[in-house]
Amino acid sequence: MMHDLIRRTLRGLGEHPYVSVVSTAVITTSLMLVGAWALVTLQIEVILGAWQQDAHVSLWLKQDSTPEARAALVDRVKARPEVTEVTYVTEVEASTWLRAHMPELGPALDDLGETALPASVEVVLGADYATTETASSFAAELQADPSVTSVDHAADWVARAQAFLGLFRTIGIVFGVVVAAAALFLVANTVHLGVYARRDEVEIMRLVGATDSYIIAPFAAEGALQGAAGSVTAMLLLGGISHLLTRQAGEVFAAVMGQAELPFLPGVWLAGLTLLGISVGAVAHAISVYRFLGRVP
Amino acid sequence: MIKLYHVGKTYGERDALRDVNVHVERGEFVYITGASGAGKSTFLRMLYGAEAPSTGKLLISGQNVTRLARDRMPFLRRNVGVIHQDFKLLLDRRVGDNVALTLEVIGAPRDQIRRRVPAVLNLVGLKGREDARVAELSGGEQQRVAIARAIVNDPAVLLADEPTGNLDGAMAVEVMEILHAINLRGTTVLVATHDVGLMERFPKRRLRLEGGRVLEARPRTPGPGRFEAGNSA
Repeated sequence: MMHDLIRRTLRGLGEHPYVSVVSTAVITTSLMLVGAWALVTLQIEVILGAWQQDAHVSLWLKQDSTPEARAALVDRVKARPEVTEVTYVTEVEASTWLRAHMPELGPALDDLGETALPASVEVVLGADYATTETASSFAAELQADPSVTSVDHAADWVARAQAFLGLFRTIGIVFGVVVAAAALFLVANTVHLGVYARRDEVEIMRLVGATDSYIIAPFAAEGALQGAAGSVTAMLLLGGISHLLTRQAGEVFAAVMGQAELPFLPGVWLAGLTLLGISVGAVAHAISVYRFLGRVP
Repeated sequence: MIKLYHVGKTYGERDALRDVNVHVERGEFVYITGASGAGKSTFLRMLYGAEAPSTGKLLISGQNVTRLARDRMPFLRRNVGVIHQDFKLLLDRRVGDNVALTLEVIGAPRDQIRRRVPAVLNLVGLKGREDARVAELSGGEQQRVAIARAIVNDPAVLLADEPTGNLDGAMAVEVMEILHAINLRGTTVLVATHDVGLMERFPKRRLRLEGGRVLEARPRTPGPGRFEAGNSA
């Protein structure tokens, strides 16, 4: 039976290559859309991970705070167990840094004077404390210090980005379902043309006593093969695009994500996409043939 | 073998068959005759489940076809071979592939298919033509392939809908001789035709349909088979 199924499947593929190519292309396109979403999600997760590791807190100091008060603040911060690094930046050092990095602002800084920018204490938290909650509570505590005017930290951004990522994931799942359904519909309609081209064969098989499952099986197997081919093609194309992006914009990725190479989809995702492609191909073919059989006496 | 009780078939407002009562015994050869549109094809289509009767009951080998579920229909068809006027063959395939299809569908082993296909092609006069493309055959040869496909699994019943309609005189006679030979092997054969010449040359029981009714069942020349007058046969 298996030999017969393989023979009929290969014959179907060979006799109607156009339908096979179109079905495979539709599956490839659909899986590329889903794969692209997965890749973007993965990159955002990497960026957020990098941000979380970089748990940096800036304490902006009041202009009228005394050097003694500032030194005491630095000592207090250094004594905290969650802190690994503390740097005191004076008003002059801040202006110098800004002049060096943004020379076009030089004239404006000249007008404003040496104390145009506030002094700050730049704090780096240890990796064990680099969580949104720890950074937030640390910032809130130091906000109450009389020398401090305001506190900035990445935790807020991380929290917002995480909320966005959650939303992005949800949208992605809905998007994935819609794309899979659209692919199913498109493939089923494409296959319908192929089934129609083979209507004589289907009608004759019905006439000589073939069961629905006997007729559907090779079509579903064709769909599964097309789905597998579409999945592999989609992954190769995504891999190629990812590689090209890395070559063209590796420096940008290194700055934003801390690594020049874009991470590719992990094995479980690749297996999932392949399974999705195979399922879409097989189910679309089965649905199409089953619908056609409903009209054959 | 085949029993129809008050069978009717309606298409919209039109009655294709009305109150048909027919009994066909095992091993009989029966002509279904009548003018075009008399209901011959509808009658045969009901026998292999392509049409469901609108009224009445239809039994084949004791099985009520009227109530047969869709998933049981293939098993009825494995016992009822069908031959069409237009042959219904896969023209781009080989003769052997077309005939083997019937056996493949029922899951027959490969070696059985390899033995059976040449044997049945021999029976219909196509010995050694397994590898020929169907499209390359004449009309008469194509009809023989269709017959071979219909009988290769030894069905109890063989239905032929105008099997000689597309053939010239000599080929039509050859096809009828094959059908009679199959009948002699014990297969119940029903042939829808309006070819009076062939019916006279091969006299058998006749069921004449007119306006959807069985009006008569009288062979001009007596032959084997039961017949009764009126709307029952």
